[in-house]
Amino acid sequence: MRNPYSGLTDLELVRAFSEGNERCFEVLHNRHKSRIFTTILLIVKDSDLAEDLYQETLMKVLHYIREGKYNEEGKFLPWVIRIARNLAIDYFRKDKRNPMVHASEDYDVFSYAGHTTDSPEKQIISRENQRYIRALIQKLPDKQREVLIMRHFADLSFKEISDLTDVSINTALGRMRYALVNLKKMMEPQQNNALGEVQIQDEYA
Amino acid sequence: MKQVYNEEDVVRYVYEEMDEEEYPVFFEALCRDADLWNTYEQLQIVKLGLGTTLAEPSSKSCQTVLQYASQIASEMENKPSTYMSKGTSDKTPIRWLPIGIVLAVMLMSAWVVDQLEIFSPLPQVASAIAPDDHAWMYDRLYRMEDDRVLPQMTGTNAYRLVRYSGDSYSDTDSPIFE
Repeated sequence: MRNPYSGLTDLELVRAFSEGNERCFEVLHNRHKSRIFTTILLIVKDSDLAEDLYQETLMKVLHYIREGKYNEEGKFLPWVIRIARNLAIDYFRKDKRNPMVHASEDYDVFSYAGHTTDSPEKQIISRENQRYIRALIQKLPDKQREVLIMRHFADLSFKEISDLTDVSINTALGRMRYALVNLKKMMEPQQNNALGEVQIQDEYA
Repeated sequence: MKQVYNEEDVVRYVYEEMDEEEYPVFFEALCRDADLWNTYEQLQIVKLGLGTTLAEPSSKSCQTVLQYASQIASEMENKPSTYMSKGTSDKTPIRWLPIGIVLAVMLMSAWVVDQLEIFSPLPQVASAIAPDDHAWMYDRLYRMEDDRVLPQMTGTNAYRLVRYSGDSYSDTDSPIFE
């Protein structure tokens, strides 16, 4: 049975939830959970940590809504991504963990992302391609990776990204361009040097 | 004047962040500029390669979040909304109403008393005084709250000031005014 609240906007759902309608938050959660979690996962690169931060982010979101601290002028998803990003930054500051630590290579949270009608062989190839691409993403400079994650996976606009990261839109666009160019270079074997490394282009070079 | 586009504009085009009117103009520019077209091809290939597959949080995480949301919803259902809204509040300041009514009644009563001069025996006495002659003295003495000093006629055109205290008069040391 279709949820009667699924046609409401994010703002309407937040308002209804603040009046005590928990089904509205369920709709909101289902609508954005994948983007939120994917963003967190790509930032922290650790699936267990991503799960913890995901829960913490949403609980903080609920707390702020209860306290009436959701600013209507901002969109819901960029607001949540901002909270998630800040929590990730705080975590790395407190824990002083090396963000380049990877989770077990056998475990790939993307492996259960959605269903497809493709054949099993195609699914395996697709999954392997995705794993390969994500490994390349981790090699990008932090600022380029951040913009790429937020634009491509969290689907934030460049304006929202520039507000969130406190840079100009042109800077955000430039970082995105370099991110895509660098990924292209990494994908092409002939771009590798004698050591098999790719010369990553920095926007500040 | 032709619009000049750069590689950042290609990013905007690839990620569909141009205004509606800008798309055909930009596409025309792409067709004319080989370098711009190469950039577009490269970026588009990478974007497609990144795919659209997203990760999902575990069911345990989702359940934890939704349980907490249920708890919060119950709390919010039972108390007035604290949701920040840009519109004006529709709550009437009911708690201020009784105080306002009391103040209004008090002011009205004071006005009525003043108009009816219920507590003031002064007008018929005060009219005996030419206001221009001794208005300053009368005004100063008259405005004493409890002990009122009033003019008391001592002759046809003379008076002295006495103190009125509710139901009796007492002498003051004022001279007789004529």
